[in-house]
Amino acid sequence: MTAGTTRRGLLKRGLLGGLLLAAGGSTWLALRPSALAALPDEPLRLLTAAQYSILMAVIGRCVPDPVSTLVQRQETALRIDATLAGANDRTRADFTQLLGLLDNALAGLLLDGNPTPFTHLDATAQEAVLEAWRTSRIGLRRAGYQALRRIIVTHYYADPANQAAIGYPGPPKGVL
Amino acid sequence: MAGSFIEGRTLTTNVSLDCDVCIVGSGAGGATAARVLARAGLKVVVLEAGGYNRKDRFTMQEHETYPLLYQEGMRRSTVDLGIGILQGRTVGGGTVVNWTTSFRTPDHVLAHWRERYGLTALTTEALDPHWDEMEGRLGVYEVPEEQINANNRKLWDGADALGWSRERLRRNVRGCRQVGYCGMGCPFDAKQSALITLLPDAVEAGATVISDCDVRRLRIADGRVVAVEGRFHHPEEGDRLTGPTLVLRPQVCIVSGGAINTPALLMRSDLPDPQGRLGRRTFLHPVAATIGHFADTVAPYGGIPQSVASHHFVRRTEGMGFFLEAAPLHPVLFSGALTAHGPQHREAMEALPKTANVLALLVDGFDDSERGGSVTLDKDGSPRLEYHYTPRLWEAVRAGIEAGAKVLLAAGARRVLTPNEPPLEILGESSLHRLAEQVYVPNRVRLFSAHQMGGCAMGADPAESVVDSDLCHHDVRNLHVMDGSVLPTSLGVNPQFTIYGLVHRAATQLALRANAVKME
Repeated sequence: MTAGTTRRGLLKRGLLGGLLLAAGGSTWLALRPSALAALPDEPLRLLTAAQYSILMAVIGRCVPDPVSTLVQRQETALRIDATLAGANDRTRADFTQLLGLLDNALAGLLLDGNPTPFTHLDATAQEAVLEAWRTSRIGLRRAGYQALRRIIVTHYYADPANQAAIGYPGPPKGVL
Repeated sequence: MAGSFIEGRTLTTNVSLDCDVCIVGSGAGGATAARVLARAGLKVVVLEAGGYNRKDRFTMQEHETYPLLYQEGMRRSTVDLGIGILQGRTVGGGTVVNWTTSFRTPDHVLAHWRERYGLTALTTEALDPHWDEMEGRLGVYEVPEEQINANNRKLWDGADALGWSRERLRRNVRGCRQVGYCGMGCPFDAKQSALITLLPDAVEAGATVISDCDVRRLRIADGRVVAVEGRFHHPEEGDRLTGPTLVLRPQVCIVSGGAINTPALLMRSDLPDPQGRLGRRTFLHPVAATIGHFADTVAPYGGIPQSVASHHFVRRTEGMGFFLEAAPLHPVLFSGALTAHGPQHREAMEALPKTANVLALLVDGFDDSERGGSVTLDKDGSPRLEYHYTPRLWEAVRAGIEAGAKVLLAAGARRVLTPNEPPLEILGESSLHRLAEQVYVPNRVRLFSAHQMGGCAMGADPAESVVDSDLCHHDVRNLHVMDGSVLPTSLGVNPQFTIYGLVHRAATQLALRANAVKME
């Protein structure tokens, strides 16, 4: 029950973790670059344009239309960016590596037989990727799914307007 | 002469001090020790890594209070992310954010500790006067039945319908406003946390409490702690230690950083640990939370957050025991506790006002096959928590979810959702058998822990423990550990009063010894 994120050392466990890390962390192995999303007006504090785009793609699955608007999804991404900017170096590295791994063509090819990066997939194909991660026999992928899912939903529902939309009344007025 | 609270973030020059007692950590353990020792006339300095956050910062907004009041902004977890860790990090520690449940240590737990770990001094009779003192100071009372909120009432009614034992809880609050925001710090100063009780008592008796200070290591020479070294930080700079340094030279050092940070500090300090006991046997009361949807409004975010428990299964013979309680549900916490994403997650979020929950808290550490978790150091010196999952644990997770589902159905839930990933929907008792078909591995069931225990266990035998029953380190005799890390097993009840009782007893004895030495 935490405002989830990746955890230090998450991607460094075991031989397979090492392999995936090598794949996710190496730009020369990535067969195709990420499809870039439109950047928000506010500057990003930590994430690169590519990392922001991958994050926006996952946010689009976790709180999809019509649950959220594009602006709400951008605000969620910006809140996550701010959280990561204030986190320790290890957390930052874990999370950005996780985003890289999700969109890495070689990792997709090795594990799923599909070299198309996540950001290039349509919604149905993205759901299939997330489902593969969530129920994977590889603990690292299950953890990666939970890390992404949790950081997104906890930052989406951090906005009092998004809380009100599910019928949460918020703190009683006038008690302080 | 009265002492003071100092916000470390405001300091601009390095600090170097002599004192009688340095206490690292200001939660249930550290604050209790500070009160006892300062009142005994000793010069006490308390160091806290978190901020000096008072009620004006307890805004009842999750996104503002969680980063301020919890370890790692509430993102702490086991290294595999399989168990989320809710743990306080602020002046007053976990007592500022807990849900106020106040249990004395059960007799059978103390009996087990006496028999298995040689802790012969720890009897109910020996601890009762210490609990009496602490309960009096902290305003412990039993929740009257009419104050049970709808969320807890589902557990109360469901357990009754099933013929399971149930009880109303005792809690440390004076003048409760029943608003439901205990987990974000009480904005009314009604919760009798260490922040507004034990620490002010200590300061009035002369103690100094310094916030925003990360203690990096203890210096050991000739088998004694000779210095405590730390560095100040500013919360806006995240975890980066950029402020001035601190060196204290105490006669006695007490470490009270909790079950994860205390072993890590002792490891960073290269404490003698020939048997490798440090950071071993960390117990978590791993929690599996089951939710139920009801026809009427439950409003699980309002009212007294926790007022009912069932210990019906705490000593079950089929496997690891568990006990049942309810948790307050606010949107951020709830969104992370749910499994799934997209429309399925949204549907559960939209049902929040009509949702109740039952937590199954697993009582780990009583079977010799259970190792619990272990704390080691990461490259940067921060703690790294692993949990050693066993078939016995997973059996209890499944049984705990089943019990939660049965309670909710018995209380009238139309639909139950389990913490499995993906969640299992249960519409009646006839579908409970499907729980056995689910996959039980880390991150296929959402687990969390609000109770961290062990890692510096008490015991008579130095070969299998770190401190003795007086909470004194076996090898470094002016070092004491006074927090939840000394528990040799979990408890089967919420731990705050076990810590209060053990620490009040040990600190009272330490004060007598320290003053005897001073008089010589």
